[in-house]
Amino acid sequence: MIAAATTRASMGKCKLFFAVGLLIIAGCSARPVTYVTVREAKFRTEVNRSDRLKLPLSAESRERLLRFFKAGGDTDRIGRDIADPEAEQRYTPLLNKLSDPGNLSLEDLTEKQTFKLWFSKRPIRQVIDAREEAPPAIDPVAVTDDKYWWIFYHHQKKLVELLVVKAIPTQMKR
Amino acid sequence: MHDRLLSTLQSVASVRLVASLRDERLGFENMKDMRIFIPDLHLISDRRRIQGAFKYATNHTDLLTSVVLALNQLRSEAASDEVIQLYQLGDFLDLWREADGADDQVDVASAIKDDHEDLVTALMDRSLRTSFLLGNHDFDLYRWPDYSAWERRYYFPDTANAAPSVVLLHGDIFDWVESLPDAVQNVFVYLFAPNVTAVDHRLGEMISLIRQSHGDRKYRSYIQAQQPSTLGTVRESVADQVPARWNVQTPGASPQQNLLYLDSAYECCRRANEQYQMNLRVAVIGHTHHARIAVREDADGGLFALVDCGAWIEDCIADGDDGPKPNAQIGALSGNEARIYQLAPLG
Repeated sequence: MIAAATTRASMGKCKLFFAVGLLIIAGCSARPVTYVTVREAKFRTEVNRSDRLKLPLSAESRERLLRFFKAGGDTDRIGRDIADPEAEQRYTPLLNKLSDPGNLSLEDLTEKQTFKLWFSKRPIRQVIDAREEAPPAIDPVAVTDDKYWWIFYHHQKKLVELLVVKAIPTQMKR
Repeated sequence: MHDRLLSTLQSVASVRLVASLRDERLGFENMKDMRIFIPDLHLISDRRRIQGAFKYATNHTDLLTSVVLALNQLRSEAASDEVIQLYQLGDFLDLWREADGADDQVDVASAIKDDHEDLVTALMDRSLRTSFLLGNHDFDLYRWPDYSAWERRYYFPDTANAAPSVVLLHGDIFDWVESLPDAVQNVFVYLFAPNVTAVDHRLGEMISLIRQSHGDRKYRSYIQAQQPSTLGTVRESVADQVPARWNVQTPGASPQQNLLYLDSAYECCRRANEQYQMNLRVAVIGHTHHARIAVREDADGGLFALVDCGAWIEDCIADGDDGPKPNAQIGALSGNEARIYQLAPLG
Protein backbone atom coordinates (compact mmCIF):
# COMPACT_ATOMS: atom_id res chain seq x y z
CA MET A 1 0.00 0.00 0.00
CA ILE A 2 2.85 2.31 0.85
CA ALA A 3 4.41 1.58 -2.53
CA ALA A 4 1.09 2.33 -4.29
CA ALA A 5 0.69 5.59 -2.39
CA THR A 6 4.28 6.57 -3.25
CA THR A 7 3.65 5.78 -6.91
CA ARG A 8 0.45 7.86 -6.91
CA ALA A 9 2.28 10.74 -5.22
CA SER A 10 5.12 10.63 -7.71
CA MET A 11 2.64 10.45 -10.63
CA GLY A 12 0.87 13.47 -9.17
CA LYS A 13 4.15 15.34 -8.96
CA CYS A 14 4.94 14.28 -12.50
CA LYS A 15 1.59 15.64 -13.75
CA LEU A 16 2.15 18.86 -11.84
CA PHE A 17 5.62 19.14 -13.35
CA PHE A 18 4.22 18.69 -16.86
CA ALA A 19 1.42 21.16 -16.20
CA VAL A 20 3.88 23.77 -14.94
CA GLY A 21 6.15 23.04 -17.91
CA LEU A 22 3.29 23.51 -20.36
CA LEU A 23 2.29 26.77 -18.69
CA ILE A 24 5.86 28.05 -18.91
CA ILE A 25 6.10 27.09 -22.58
CA ALA A 26 2.76 28.78 -23.28
CA GLY A 27 3.82 31.87 -21.38
CA CYS A 28 7.19 32.16 -23.09
CA SER A 29 6.01 31.53 -26.63
CA ALA A 30 5.19 34.56 -28.72
CA ARG A 31 1.54 35.45 -28.93
CA PRO A 32 0.20 35.03 -32.43
CA VAL A 33 -0.72 38.21 -34.24
CA THR A 34 -4.44 38.21 -34.86
CA TYR A 35 -5.91 40.04 -37.81
CA VAL A 36 -8.82 39.79 -40.18
CA THR A 37 -8.56 40.00 -43.94
CA VAL A 38 -11.21 41.32 -46.26
CA ARG A 39 -12.07 38.57 -48.71
CA GLU A 40 -12.77 38.55 -52.46
CA ALA A 41 -15.75 40.50 -53.80
CA LYS A 42 -18.20 37.63 -54.05
CA PHE A 43 -17.74 36.76 -50.36
CA ARG A 44 -18.49 40.22 -49.03
CA THR A 45 -21.47 42.54 -48.81
CA GLU A 46 -19.89 45.26 -50.90
CA VAL A 47 -17.93 45.47 -54.10
CA ASN A 48 -16.55 48.93 -53.43
CA ARG A 49 -16.34 51.08 -50.37
CA SER A 50 -19.06 53.30 -51.82
CA ASP A 51 -21.52 50.38 -51.49
CA ARG A 52 -20.80 49.95 -47.79
CA LEU A 53 -23.81 49.41 -45.54
CA LYS A 54 -24.69 52.44 -43.45
CA LEU A 55 -25.70 52.19 -39.81
CA PRO A 56 -28.32 52.18 -38.45
CA LEU A 57 -29.51 49.65 -41.00
CA SER A 58 -32.35 50.69 -43.26
CA ALA A 59 -35.06 48.28 -44.42
CA GLU A 60 -33.24 48.02 -47.73
CA SER A 61 -29.90 47.24 -46.05
CA ARG A 62 -31.50 44.55 -43.90
CA GLU A 63 -32.98 42.97 -47.01
CA ARG A 64 -29.58 43.08 -48.72
CA LEU A 65 -27.90 41.43 -45.74
CA LEU A 66 -30.52 38.71 -45.44
CA ARG A 67 -30.17 37.87 -49.14
CA PHE A 68 -26.42 37.59 -48.59
CA PHE A 69 -26.83 35.33 -45.55
CA LYS A 70 -29.42 33.11 -47.25
CA ALA A 71 -26.94 32.65 -50.08
CA GLY A 72 -24.36 31.46 -47.54
CA GLY A 73 -22.21 34.55 -48.00
CA ASP A 74 -21.63 33.86 -51.70
CA THR A 75 -23.12 36.58 -53.88
CA ASP A 76 -23.06 34.26 -56.91
CA ARG A 77 -25.85 32.31 -55.27
CA ILE A 78 -28.11 35.24 -54.44
CA GLY A 79 -31.52 34.70 -56.06
CA ARG A 80 -30.47 31.29 -57.37
CA ASP A 81 -30.67 28.97 -54.39
CA ILE A 82 -30.89 29.02 -50.62
CA ALA A 83 -27.68 27.87 -49.00
CA ASP A 84 -28.72 28.67 -45.44
CA PRO A 85 -32.46 28.26 -44.78
CA GLU A 86 -32.06 29.31 -41.15
CA ALA A 87 -30.34 32.58 -41.92
CA GLU A 88 -33.42 34.76 -41.59
CA GLN A 89 -34.34 33.32 -38.20
CA ARG A 90 -30.77 33.52 -36.93
CA TYR A 91 -29.91 37.04 -38.03
CA THR A 92 -33.17 38.98 -37.87
CA PRO A 93 -32.83 39.78 -34.14
CA LEU A 94 -29.26 40.98 -34.72
CA LEU A 95 -30.27 43.11 -37.68
CA ASN A 96 -33.06 44.58 -35.55
CA LYS A 97 -30.49 45.66 -32.99
CA LEU A 98 -28.30 47.15 -35.70
CA SER A 99 -31.28 49.17 -36.93
CA ASP A 100 -31.61 50.94 -33.59
CA PRO A 101 -29.32 53.98 -33.15
CA GLY A 102 -29.38 53.34 -29.41
CA ASN A 103 -27.22 50.25 -29.88
CA LEU A 104 -24.60 51.80 -32.10
CA SER A 105 -21.96 53.27 -29.86
CA LEU A 106 -18.42 51.88 -30.09
CA GLU A 107 -18.84 50.71 -26.50
CA ASP A 108 -21.77 48.51 -27.51
CA LEU A 109 -19.25 46.42 -29.37
CA THR A 110 -16.16 46.69 -27.19
CA GLU A 111 -17.37 47.10 -23.60
CA LYS A 112 -21.08 46.46 -23.24
CA GLN A 113 -22.67 43.10 -23.84
CA THR A 114 -25.14 44.39 -26.43
CA PHE A 115 -24.17 41.85 -29.11
CA LYS A 116 -22.77 39.10 -26.92
CA LEU A 117 -25.40 36.64 -28.10
CA TRP A 118 -23.86 36.69 -31.59
CA PHE A 119 -20.32 37.86 -31.01
CA SER A 120 -18.97 36.09 -27.98
CA LYS A 121 -15.28 36.32 -28.86
CA ARG A 122 -13.00 39.27 -28.29
CA PRO A 123 -13.11 41.94 -31.04
CA ILE A 124 -10.11 42.20 -33.37
CA ARG A 125 -8.88 45.63 -34.37
CA GLN A 126 -6.37 44.76 -37.08
CA VAL A 127 -8.22 44.51 -40.39
CA ILE A 128 -6.20 44.11 -43.56
CA ASP A 129 -8.02 45.41 -46.60
CA ALA A 130 -5.78 45.33 -49.66
CA ARG A 131 -8.21 47.59 -51.53
CA GLU A 132 -7.10 50.49 -49.33
CA GLU A 133 -4.05 52.63 -50.00
CA ALA A 134 -2.77 52.31 -46.44
CA PRO A 135 -3.78 50.86 -43.07
CA PRO A 136 -6.60 52.82 -41.44
CA ALA A 137 -5.78 55.61 -39.01
CA ILE A 138 -8.68 54.61 -36.78
CA ASP A 139 -9.00 50.86 -36.62
CA PRO A 140 -12.38 49.27 -37.40
CA VAL A 141 -13.75 46.62 -35.07
CA ALA A 142 -14.10 43.08 -36.42
CA VAL A 143 -16.23 40.52 -34.61
CA THR A 144 -17.32 37.08 -35.68
CA ASP A 145 -20.27 34.78 -35.23
CA ASP A 146 -18.07 32.02 -36.72
CA LYS A 147 -19.87 32.12 -40.07
CA TYR A 148 -19.05 35.74 -40.93
CA TRP A 149 -16.73 38.56 -39.96
CA TRP A 150 -18.69 41.67 -39.18
CA ILE A 151 -16.42 44.66 -39.65
CA PHE A 152 -17.74 47.84 -38.06
CA TYR A 153 -16.33 51.25 -39.00
CA HIS A 154 -16.78 54.03 -36.50
CA HIS A 155 -16.49 57.79 -36.29
CA GLN A 156 -16.34 59.76 -33.03
CA LYS A 157 -17.18 56.52 -31.20
CA LYS A 158 -20.38 55.86 -33.17
CA LEU A 159 -20.68 52.80 -35.40
CA VAL A 160 -21.39 54.25 -38.81
CA GLU A 161 -20.71 51.59 -41.44
CA LEU A 162 -20.69 47.82 -41.75
CA LEU A 163 -19.00 45.29 -44.00
CA VAL A 164 -19.77 41.59 -43.65
CA VAL A 165 -17.36 39.01 -45.02
CA LYS A 166 -17.75 35.25 -45.17
CA ALA A 167 -15.41 33.72 -42.60
CA ILE A 168 -12.86 31.08 -43.42
CA PRO A 169 -13.06 28.23 -40.93
CA THR A 170 -9.93 28.20 -38.82
CA GLN A 171 -10.07 24.42 -38.45
CA MET A 172 -11.37 21.91 -40.98
CA LYS A 173 -13.22 18.79 -39.84
CA ARG A 174 -11.29 15.57 -40.36
CA MET B 1 11.34 77.09 -46.52
CA HIS B 2 11.91 77.87 -42.84
CA ASP B 3 10.03 81.14 -43.32
CA ARG B 4 7.05 79.35 -44.85
CA LEU B 5 6.99 76.83 -42.03
CA LEU B 6 7.21 79.61 -39.47
CA SER B 7 4.29 81.55 -40.95
CA THR B 8 2.28 78.29 -41.14
CA LEU B 9 2.92 77.66 -37.46
CA GLN B 10 2.12 81.26 -36.57
CA SER B 11 -1.22 80.96 -38.34
CA VAL B 12 -2.39 78.47 -35.69
CA ALA B 13 -0.11 78.96 -32.67
CA SER B 14 1.90 81.35 -30.64
CA VAL B 15 5.53 80.56 -31.51
CA ARG B 16 8.79 81.03 -29.61
CA LEU B 17 12.20 80.03 -30.88
CA VAL B 18 13.90 77.56 -28.53
CA ALA B 19 17.08 77.18 -30.55
CA SER B 20 18.49 77.60 -34.03
CA LEU B 21 21.69 76.58 -35.74
CA ARG B 22 22.67 77.55 -39.25
CA ASP B 23 25.97 75.99 -40.34
CA GLU B 24 27.13 74.57 -43.65
CA ARG B 25 28.81 71.70 -41.80
CA LEU B 26 25.39 70.20 -41.03
CA GLY B 27 25.51 68.56 -44.46
CA PHE B 28 21.86 69.16 -45.33
CA GLU B 29 22.17 71.98 -47.78
CA ASN B 30 19.11 71.59 -50.01
CA MET B 31 17.00 74.72 -49.57
CA LYS B 32 14.02 73.00 -51.19
CA ASP B 33 13.99 70.11 -48.78
CA MET B 34 12.40 70.54 -45.35
CA ARG B 35 12.11 67.85 -42.70
CA ILE B 36 9.76 68.57 -39.81
CA PHE B 37 9.84 66.65 -36.54
CA ILE B 38 7.06 66.09 -34.02
CA PRO B 39 8.50 64.55 -30.86
CA ASP B 40 6.98 62.32 -28.17
CA LEU B 41 3.22 62.55 -27.58
CA HIS B 42 2.63 59.61 -25.18
CA LEU B 43 -1.08 59.42 -25.95
CA ILE B 44 -3.20 57.29 -23.62
CA SER B 45 -6.95 56.80 -23.40
CA ASP B 46 -9.02 59.12 -21.23
CA ARG B 47 -10.21 56.26 -19.08
CA ARG B 48 -6.71 54.97 -18.46
CA ARG B 49 -5.49 58.46 -17.56
CA ILE B 50 -7.97 58.55 -14.68
CA GLN B 51 -7.67 54.88 -13.76
CA GLY B 52 -3.88 54.97 -13.67
CA ALA B 53 -3.75 58.31 -11.84
CA PHE B 54 -1.17 59.62 -14.27
CA LYS B 55 -0.09 63.16 -13.59
CA TYR B 56 0.75 63.91 -17.20
CA ALA B 57 -1.28 63.63 -20.39
CA THR B 58 -0.42 64.85 -23.84
CA ASN B 59 -0.35 68.66 -23.95
CA HIS B 60 -2.51 70.78 -26.24
CA THR B 61 -3.88 67.98 -28.44
CA ASP B 62 -6.26 70.40 -30.17
CA LEU B 63 -3.38 72.73 -30.98
CA LEU B 64 -1.31 69.86 -32.30
CA THR B 65 -4.20 68.76 -34.50
CA SER B 66 -4.41 72.28 -35.93
CA VAL B 67 -0.65 72.31 -36.47
CA VAL B 68 -0.74 68.99 -38.34
CA LEU B 69 -3.65 70.12 -40.52
CA ALA B 70 -1.75 73.33 -41.31
CA LEU B 71 1.36 71.32 -42.19
CA ASN B 72 -0.72 69.19 -44.53
CA GLN B 73 -1.88 72.37 -46.23
CA LEU B 74 1.74 73.59 -46.46
CA ARG B 75 2.74 70.28 -48.00
CA SER B 76 -0.07 70.38 -50.53
CA GLU B 77 1.08 73.83 -51.68
CA ALA B 78 4.72 72.80 -52.14
CA ALA B 79 6.22 73.03 -55.62
CA SER B 80 6.88 69.81 -57.46
CA ASP B 81 10.64 70.10 -56.85
CA GLU B 82 10.22 70.69 -53.11
CA VAL B 83 10.21 68.11 -50.34
CA ILE B 84 8.24 68.64 -47.13
CA GLN B 85 8.39 65.53 -44.99
CA LEU B 86 6.90 65.16 -41.54
CA TYR B 87 8.27 62.70 -38.99
CA GLN B 88 6.87 61.63 -35.68
CA LEU B 89 9.85 60.71 -33.53
CA GLY B 90 8.33 57.82 -31.54
CA ASP B 91 6.36 57.39 -28.32
CA PHE B 92 3.29 58.41 -30.25
CA LEU B 93 1.12 55.93 -28.32
CA ASP B 94 2.10 55.13 -24.75
CA LEU B 95 1.45 51.40 -24.54
CA TRP B 96 3.40 51.14 -21.29
CA ARG B 97 1.09 53.48 -19.45
CA GLU B 98 -2.04 52.20 -21.17
CA ALA B 99 -1.57 48.53 -20.31
CA ASP B 100 -0.72 46.92 -17.02
CA GLY B 101 1.20 44.02 -18.48
CA ALA B 102 3.67 44.12 -21.34
CA ASP B 103 1.85 41.27 -23.07
CA ASP B 104 -1.35 43.25 -23.28
CA GLN B 105 0.26 46.27 -24.85
CA VAL B 106 -0.40 45.47 -28.46
CA ASP B 107 -4.13 45.19 -27.94
CA VAL B 108 -4.53 48.66 -26.53
CA ALA B 109 -3.25 50.82 -29.39
CA SER B 110 -6.68 50.98 -31.01
CA ALA B 111 -8.34 52.09 -27.79
CA ILE B 112 -5.86 54.96 -27.44
CA LYS B 113 -6.47 56.04 -31.03
CA ASP B 114 -10.25 55.88 -30.53
CA ASP B 115 -9.92 58.57 -27.86
CA HIS B 116 -7.83 60.89 -30.02
CA GLU B 117 -9.52 60.45 -33.36
CA ASP B 118 -9.05 63.97 -34.73
CA LEU B 119 -5.33 64.09 -33.97
CA VAL B 120 -4.63 60.54 -35.14
CA THR B 121 -6.63 61.04 -38.33
CA ALA B 122 -4.77 64.28 -39.08
CA LEU B 123 -1.36 62.79 -38.41
CA MET B 124 -2.02 59.59 -40.36
CA ASP B 125 -3.75 61.30 -43.27
CA ARG B 126 -2.53 59.69 -46.46
CA SER B 127 -1.87 62.99 -48.18
CA LEU B 128 0.56 63.95 -45.41
CA ARG B 129 2.52 60.69 -45.61
CA THR B 130 3.97 61.07 -42.14
CA SER B 131 6.89 58.78 -41.33
CA PHE B 132 6.73 57.24 -37.88
CA LEU B 133 9.51 56.05 -35.61
CA LEU B 134 8.87 53.46 -32.94
CA GLY B 135 9.80 54.70 -29.49
CA ASN B 136 10.44 52.75 -26.32
CA HIS B 137 6.86 53.26 -25.13
CA ASP B 138 5.30 51.97 -28.36
CA PHE B 139 7.94 49.60 -29.66
CA ASP B 140 5.65 46.54 -29.52
CA LEU B 141 3.59 47.96 -32.35
CA TYR B 142 6.14 46.58 -34.83
CA ARG B 143 4.55 43.15 -34.47
CA TRP B 144 1.21 44.30 -35.89
CA PRO B 145 0.26 44.66 -39.53
CA ASP B 146 -0.91 48.28 -39.31
CA TYR B 147 2.48 49.41 -38.02
CA SER B 148 4.80 47.21 -40.04
CA ALA B 149 6.11 50.20 -42.00
CA TRP B 150 7.08 52.13 -38.86
CA GLU B 151 10.83 52.32 -38.44
CA ARG B 152 13.48 52.54 -35.75
CA ARG B 153 15.63 54.97 -37.70
CA TYR B 154 15.66 57.06 -40.86
CA TYR B 155 18.62 58.44 -42.78
CA PHE B 156 18.64 61.39 -45.14
CA PRO B 157 19.17 63.10 -47.46
CA ASP B 158 18.81 60.38 -50.06
CA THR B 159 21.15 61.53 -52.79
CA ALA B 160 22.82 59.27 -55.27
CA ASN B 161 26.35 60.47 -54.78
CA ALA B 162 26.69 61.21 -51.06
CA ALA B 163 26.32 59.29 -47.84
CA PRO B 164 23.51 60.49 -45.57
CA SER B 165 24.43 63.18 -43.06
CA VAL B 166 21.40 62.99 -40.76
CA VAL B 167 20.07 60.14 -38.68
CA LEU B 168 16.67 60.18 -37.00
CA LEU B 169 16.26 58.04 -33.91
CA HIS B 170 13.87 57.99 -31.04
CA GLY B 171 16.90 58.38 -28.78
CA ASP B 172 16.42 55.60 -26.27
CA ILE B 173 19.47 53.79 -27.62
CA PHE B 174 21.55 56.38 -25.80
CA ASP B 175 20.07 55.21 -22.50
CA TRP B 176 21.45 51.79 -23.27
CA VAL B 177 24.79 53.03 -24.60
CA GLU B 178 25.35 54.65 -21.24
CA SER B 179 23.76 52.05 -18.95
CA LEU B 180 24.03 48.72 -20.83
CA PRO B 181 27.05 49.11 -23.12
CA ASP B 182 27.69 45.38 -23.55
CA ALA B 183 24.12 44.60 -24.55
CA VAL B 184 23.87 47.28 -27.15
CA GLN B 185 26.26 45.90 -29.78
CA ASN B 186 23.75 44.08 -31.99
CA VAL B 187 21.22 46.84 -31.67
CA PHE B 188 23.85 49.32 -32.77
CA VAL B 189 24.36 47.39 -36.00
CA TYR B 190 20.66 47.47 -36.77
CA LEU B 191 20.19 51.14 -35.91
CA PHE B 192 23.26 52.48 -37.62
CA ALA B 193 24.14 50.10 -40.44
CA PRO B 194 22.31 51.39 -43.50
CA ASN B 195 21.80 48.06 -45.24
CA VAL B 196 20.73 45.97 -42.29
CA THR B 197 17.07 45.15 -41.82
CA ALA B 198 16.04 44.03 -38.38
CA VAL B 199 14.98 40.42 -38.16
CA ASP B 200 12.57 39.24 -35.49
CA HIS B 201 15.45 38.01 -33.35
CA ARG B 202 17.12 41.42 -33.33
CA LEU B 203 13.85 43.19 -32.61
CA GLY B 204 13.33 40.72 -29.77
CA GLU B 205 16.70 41.76 -28.35
CA MET B 206 15.60 45.36 -28.52
CA ILE B 207 12.40 44.54 -26.68
CA SER B 208 14.49 42.92 -23.93
CA LEU B 209 16.60 46.05 -23.62
CA ILE B 210 13.52 48.25 -23.57
CA ARG B 211 11.93 46.12 -20.86
CA GLN B 212 15.12 46.19 -18.85
CA SER B 213 15.17 49.96 -19.10
CA HIS B 214 11.53 50.25 -18.02
CA GLY B 215 12.01 47.97 -15.04
CA ASP B 216 8.94 48.22 -12.85
CA ARG B 217 8.32 51.91 -13.41
CA LYS B 218 4.67 52.92 -13.69
CA TYR B 219 5.25 56.50 -14.89
CA ARG B 220 2.53 57.89 -12.64
CA SER B 221 4.23 61.06 -11.48
CA TYR B 222 6.60 61.63 -14.40
CA ILE B 223 8.01 59.94 -17.51
CA GLN B 224 11.34 61.62 -18.24
CA ALA B 225 11.49 64.91 -16.42
CA GLN B 226 11.00 65.06 -12.66
CA GLN B 227 11.47 68.81 -12.98
CA PRO B 228 10.45 71.00 -15.94
CA SER B 229 13.18 70.83 -18.57
CA THR B 230 15.22 74.01 -18.83
CA LEU B 231 15.09 75.61 -22.26
CA GLY B 232 17.49 78.48 -21.57
CA THR B 233 16.84 81.78 -23.31
CA VAL B 234 14.04 81.36 -25.81
CA ARG B 235 13.44 84.05 -28.38
CA GLU B 236 10.02 85.58 -27.93
CA SER B 237 9.84 87.39 -31.22
CA VAL B 238 10.51 85.21 -34.22
CA ALA B 239 9.19 87.75 -36.67
CA ASP B 240 12.68 89.25 -36.93
CA GLN B 241 15.61 87.61 -38.65
CA VAL B 242 16.38 84.31 -36.94
CA PRO B 243 20.05 84.34 -35.89
CA ALA B 244 22.49 81.75 -37.18
CA ARG B 245 23.00 80.51 -33.64
CA TRP B 246 20.48 80.86 -30.89
CA ASN B 247 20.58 79.05 -27.57
CA VAL B 248 22.98 76.38 -28.83
CA GLN B 249 24.38 74.22 -26.03
CA THR B 250 28.11 73.52 -26.06
CA PRO B 251 30.50 71.60 -23.80
CA GLY B 252 32.22 73.89 -21.36
CA ALA B 253 29.63 76.61 -21.64
CA SER B 254 26.33 74.83 -20.94
CA PRO B 255 25.08 72.91 -17.91
CA GLN B 256 25.61 69.17 -18.12
CA GLN B 257 21.88 68.35 -18.37
CA ASN B 258 21.69 70.38 -21.58
CA LEU B 259 24.40 68.18 -23.10
CA LEU B 260 22.69 64.87 -22.30
CA TYR B 261 23.50 62.22 -24.94
CA LEU B 262 25.63 64.60 -27.01
CA ASP B 263 28.75 62.51 -26.49
CA SER B 264 26.93 59.18 -26.88
CA ALA B 265 25.27 60.33 -30.10
CA TYR B 266 28.54 61.68 -31.41
CA GLU B 267 30.32 58.44 -30.60
CA CYS B 268 27.65 56.26 -32.27
CA CYS B 269 27.68 58.43 -35.40
CA ARG B 270 31.49 58.49 -35.53
CA ARG B 271 31.52 54.70 -35.33
CA ALA B 272 28.84 54.41 -38.02
CA ASN B 273 30.79 56.76 -40.25
CA GLU B 274 33.89 54.60 -39.84
CA GLN B 275 32.24 51.20 -40.12
CA TYR B 276 29.54 51.85 -42.70
CA GLN B 277 30.97 54.69 -44.78
CA MET B 278 28.38 57.15 -43.54
CA ASN B 279 28.77 60.89 -43.16
CA LEU B 280 26.56 61.47 -40.13
CA ARG B 281 26.83 64.91 -38.59
CA VAL B 282 23.37 65.42 -37.17
CA ALA B 283 21.31 63.18 -34.90
CA VAL B 284 17.67 64.18 -34.47
CA ILE B 285 15.97 62.65 -31.45
CA GLY B 286 13.05 62.92 -29.03
CA HIS B 287 12.80 60.70 -25.95
CA THR B 288 14.33 63.01 -23.31
CA HIS B 289 11.48 65.57 -23.37
CA HIS B 290 14.12 68.27 -23.24
CA ALA B 291 14.17 70.47 -26.34
CA ARG B 292 17.62 71.75 -27.22
CA ILE B 293 20.33 71.85 -29.86
CA ALA B 294 23.68 70.72 -28.55
CA VAL B 295 26.85 70.94 -30.60
CA ARG B 296 30.33 69.51 -30.45
CA GLU B 297 33.08 71.05 -32.53
CA ASP B 298 36.32 69.21 -33.08
CA ALA B 299 39.77 70.67 -33.33
CA ASP B 300 39.90 69.67 -37.00
CA GLY B 301 36.89 71.90 -37.77
CA GLY B 302 34.27 69.15 -37.78
CA LEU B 303 30.87 69.73 -36.23
CA PHE B 304 28.34 67.35 -34.74
CA ALA B 305 24.85 68.47 -33.71
CA LEU B 306 22.30 66.75 -31.52
CA VAL B 307 18.86 68.15 -32.27
CA ASP B 308 16.57 67.06 -29.46
CA CYS B 309 13.08 68.10 -30.46
CA GLY B 310 11.50 67.91 -27.01
CA ALA B 311 7.99 66.55 -26.44
CA TRP B 312 4.27 67.27 -26.15
CA ILE B 313 4.07 65.99 -22.60
CA GLU B 314 5.46 67.18 -19.27
CA ASP B 315 6.69 70.74 -18.77
CA CYS B 316 9.52 73.06 -19.61
CA ILE B 317 10.70 76.42 -18.35
CA ALA B 318 12.63 79.12 -20.14
CA ASP B 319 14.73 81.86 -18.59
CA GLY B 320 12.42 84.64 -17.49
CA ASP B 321 9.24 82.53 -17.55
CA ASP B 322 7.01 83.06 -14.54
CA GLY B 323 6.40 79.31 -14.25
CA PRO B 324 6.55 76.01 -16.13
CA LYS B 325 4.85 75.77 -19.53
CA PRO B 326 3.56 72.61 -21.19
CA ASN B 327 6.09 71.09 -23.58
CA ALA B 328 4.81 71.63 -27.13
CA GLN B 329 7.78 71.63 -29.45
CA ILE B 330 8.45 71.03 -33.09
CA GLY B 331 11.78 70.75 -34.91
CA ALA B 332 12.73 71.51 -38.49
CA LEU B 333 15.75 71.07 -40.73
CA SER B 334 16.33 72.64 -44.14
CA GLY B 335 19.13 74.36 -46.01
CA ASN B 336 21.78 73.62 -43.38
CA GLU B 337 19.63 75.15 -40.67
CA ALA B 338 18.01 73.41 -37.72
CA ARG B 339 15.36 75.09 -35.58
CA ILE B 340 13.21 74.13 -32.61
CA TYR B 341 10.06 76.04 -31.77
CA GLN B 342 7.94 76.08 -28.64
CA LEU B 343 4.22 76.43 -29.41
CA ALA B 344 1.22 77.52 -27.38
CA PRO B 345 -2.42 78.17 -28.23
CA LEU B 346 -3.08 81.58 -29.80
CA GLY B 347 -4.33 84.32 -27.51
